[in-house]
Amino acid sequence: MNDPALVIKSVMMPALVESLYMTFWGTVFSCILGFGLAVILVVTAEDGLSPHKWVYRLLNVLVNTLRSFPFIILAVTIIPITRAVMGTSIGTNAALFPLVIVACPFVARVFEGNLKAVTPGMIEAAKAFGASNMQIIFKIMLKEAIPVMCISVTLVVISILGSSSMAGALGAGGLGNVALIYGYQSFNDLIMYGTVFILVVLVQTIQSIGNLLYNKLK
Amino acid sequence: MIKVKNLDKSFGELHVLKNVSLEVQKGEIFGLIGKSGEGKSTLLRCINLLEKRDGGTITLNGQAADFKRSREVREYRKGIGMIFQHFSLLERQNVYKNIAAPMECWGYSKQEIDEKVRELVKIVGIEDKLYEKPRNLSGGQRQRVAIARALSMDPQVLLSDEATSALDPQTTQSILQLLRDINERLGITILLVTHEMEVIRSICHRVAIMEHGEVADCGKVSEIFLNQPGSLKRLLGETAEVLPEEGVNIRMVFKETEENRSLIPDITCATSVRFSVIYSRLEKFRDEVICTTMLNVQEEDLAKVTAYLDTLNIRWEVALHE
Repeated sequence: MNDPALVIKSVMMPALVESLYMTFWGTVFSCILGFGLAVILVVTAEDGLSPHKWVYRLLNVLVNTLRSFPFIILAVTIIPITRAVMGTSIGTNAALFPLVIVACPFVARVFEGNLKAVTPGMIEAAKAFGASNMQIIFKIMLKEAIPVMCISVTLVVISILGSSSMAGALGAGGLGNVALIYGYQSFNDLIMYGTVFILVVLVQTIQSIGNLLYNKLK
Repeated sequence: MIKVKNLDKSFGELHVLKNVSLEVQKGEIFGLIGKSGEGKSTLLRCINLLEKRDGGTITLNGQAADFKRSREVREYRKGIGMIFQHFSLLERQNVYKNIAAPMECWGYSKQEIDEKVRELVKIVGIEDKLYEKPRNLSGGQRQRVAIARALSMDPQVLLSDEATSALDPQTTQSILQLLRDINERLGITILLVTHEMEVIRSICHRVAIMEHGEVADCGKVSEIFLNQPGSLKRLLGETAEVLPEEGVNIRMVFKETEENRSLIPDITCATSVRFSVIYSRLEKFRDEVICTTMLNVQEEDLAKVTAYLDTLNIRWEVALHE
């Protein structure tokens, strides 16, 4: 385990692929679900397009509750559901489920903020020319919010990457798993700090891409 | 054209509109003026149903604005263009897309949209800015884009909510000229809300002065300025005039016409009273000119002078010292 080339080839690379896999699909699913939640939150809020006090309150409580759970605890708590949904409770796919469940309310809150930041004047103008609520959400709010939402997605990707490393402790594989088992528990500093280095590079890259997109889109 | 009857609206405890009635005629430019917080914007927003009214009726072209289905509300709004103080443009879309937005929402074909957008930018005079983003435009140009967008659905009425309040005086004038032009060339009725007397003076045919959620006075702009009702004085804020302490000061307000151009010497000839002219100024109201003159006469001559003014049908009042 002290031959760097071998370590990279047989340990780091597969772990990197697993991490990216979890992060990518975790982001995709949580953004889709989170966006849906955000739209419902924005629309049903008191000052929204079609206020529904109870729908909003219920969702609000649900989102807050899920966000209160530490990731590890939640992942363990929902193991039976994970098994029912994903068919297994070990491995990358099994980790994906709690990752999405945790990220989803986070995404919902961030997107909610982004959509709410669209100037009310624009929404008013759209109402005045006879746009429907659907058109206001997708043609006005979403279109105007896209640049900031890019920044938000960047935040989400990095946060999921972080959670996925933690998922390593639950047998999900990935870089977190490598750092923990091959590095920390085996007293192998090269592997432990090597993994951290890879994570640092990943986070930097993701943030740069996010900023670049924001500047392009705004 | 637009009939508002007994309109009532409250925001919680705050009674914003109290039994407001007014009628806007087809083809005119009607101004609603008042201090801020007097309910004029709310009235405007009630007319295109952006705000729900608590009571009263609104009719547009004889059709009552009472709708159950959202589709009907949208159809109704389609016939009413609206412009805002802060333009309310889509910041990420260029001018073309901004003007096209309502037509896209209403499912117009690409070709129809293209023709209309090109026609509209010509009307509002921003042909060269078609592919610019709003952030690269000046305030006046932004308002022109908003006006083009408001006209894109061929509305019968244009509502303007403080459309010139964020603009400098020169730009305000150019936007007002554009609105007048649109009113005259396209025959679009305009109902505008403003707190600037200048707007009323330059383009409005009729005006309603709002005070505490009620229409205090309503009528032809020049008539209102001739009559000088209390609401107008309160709105203009009586500036402390420097007037002579001795004698009586008479303020006369009259239309500038051929006959009364020589009013001052006429008074002297007819009454042989000696008096002094404190000031005299001309103001333009759309296309009419109104003259305000302040005279100072001796107490004993007052009856003579005012009797003569009455024969000429010239409105006068005694100006009081502060």
